[in-house]
Amino acid sequence: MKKLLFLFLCAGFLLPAGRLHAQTFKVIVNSANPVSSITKAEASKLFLKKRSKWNHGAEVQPVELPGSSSVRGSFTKEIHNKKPAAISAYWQKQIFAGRATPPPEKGSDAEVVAYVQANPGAIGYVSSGASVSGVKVVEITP
Amino acid sequence: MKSKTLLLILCATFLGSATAQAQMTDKVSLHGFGTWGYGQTNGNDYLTGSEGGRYDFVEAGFNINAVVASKLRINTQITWHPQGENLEVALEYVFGEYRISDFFKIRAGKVKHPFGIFSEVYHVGTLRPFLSLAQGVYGPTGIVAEEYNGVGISGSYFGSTWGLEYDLYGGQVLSENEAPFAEEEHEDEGGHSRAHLDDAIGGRLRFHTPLEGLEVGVSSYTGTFLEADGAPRQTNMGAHGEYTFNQVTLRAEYVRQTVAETSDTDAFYVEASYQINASLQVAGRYDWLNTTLKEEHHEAEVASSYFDHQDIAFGVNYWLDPSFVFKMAVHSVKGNRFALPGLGANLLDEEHGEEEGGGHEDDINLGKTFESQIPGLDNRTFLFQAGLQFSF
Repeated sequence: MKKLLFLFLCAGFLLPAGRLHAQTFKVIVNSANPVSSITKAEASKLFLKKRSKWNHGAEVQPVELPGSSSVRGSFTKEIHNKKPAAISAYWQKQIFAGRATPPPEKGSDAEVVAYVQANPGAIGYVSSGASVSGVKVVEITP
Repeated sequence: MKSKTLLLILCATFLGSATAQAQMTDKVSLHGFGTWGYGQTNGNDYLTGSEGGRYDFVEAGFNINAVVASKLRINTQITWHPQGENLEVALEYVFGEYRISDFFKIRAGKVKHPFGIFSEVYHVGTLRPFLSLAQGVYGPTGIVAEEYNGVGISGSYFGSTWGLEYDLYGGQVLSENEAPFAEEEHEDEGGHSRAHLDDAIGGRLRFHTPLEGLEVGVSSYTGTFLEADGAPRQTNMGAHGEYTFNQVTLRAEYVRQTVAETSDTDAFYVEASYQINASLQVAGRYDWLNTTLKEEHHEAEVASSYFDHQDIAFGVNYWLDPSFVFKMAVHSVKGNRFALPGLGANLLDEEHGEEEGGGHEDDINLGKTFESQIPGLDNRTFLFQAGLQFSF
């Protein structure tokens, strides 16, 4: 019995190794978007506007939660692997060099979901417990 | 407009912005930046400082970006620069950008000049640890320009662990050059010396390496001073590196300028900053420049300290927010390339030309004569500098 329990615990530990341990947020896209999973690096590029088009041709339209949101803080750390101050500096450089502007910010999970639902190329993130009715959750892989 | 009034307007705009983005609509966004600086030296004027202390250095600007269509953006920036007791307004840049793909975009108009690390964000103090940029590279030498009139292409490609960005452009490069050996100087309405480099072509290549946080790049441009005798050619080139890991940021840039049959200038700086915690940061920088004239009789008539510059600086910053920072620094300067007696930030400030330093206007107006030296010229300057910078 002890051996079975030990094996069970090991399996429980090893099984999620193929995906990020993203407990605090989930990434969502428009329901019509054929993408079902993206890598962490790819997600970072999309939200930093380093890539402007999906593979299927639609314009990428990232959307974020407010800077004060803890969910955004977790997203920044896990996806960009950077501190919020570093991302802020990145956008300052893009803005004042005239190269890009940051994604729009929406005040709540519901507003993010509404934005993603309304825009075919949109990608956003919401808290892990948020209702995502009408949009699709995308798996983030390492 | 008075400096204090503008600073109050910008602070109110900054504080009133609901978010750091200051986005007016989904199609139009407004951003801005500001600087107020105080400086005191032991004699010469340098950067924001003078012997009696100066409180009046204020710079500010607004940036407006409009998405006209899915692939077309218009970008403009208006900046206020200090000029005496008032601020002069300048349309720093206005251009359109059409995106064909991420790797191919076309820009045209009055465009930010892509050179090195800071040329495109010259006035945004929240992107660097010191109030002022290293003068050897970014000072009024005609090496790093702020804008060009013309057309350019740019683009980027990002792989999973690396990235490449490029810029190519052609047109007229507009920079400030207060060099003592400039053949021709053109003053704009604000009294700044502007060096028009015509028929210019240039580019910049930046490589984001697989080592996370490390970026390296090279920049270069060349053109001719068509309005000068003989239309001499000027070529500027540079290399840069920037590495950020954990709380440490390291930067280094080297530039070289060659003006045909006139001069060669080499300059570099190295800079390190350490973020002790979310609010407190310390920084150090070494900044160096040397100019060699090709016509030797000019060197014999002018103090050698005019062609040299060394600045060792240490600073402490307090970040209230990534967009709002108080800065303090001390600078130990050797050389008179940028530190001169009684002239302020504008070498052509006629108001002080005959009253300070014991010299007359010809002595001080280094662009027009090589015959005189300023009596009692002190080639050592110490500067205490403090101020605040913000962006939104």
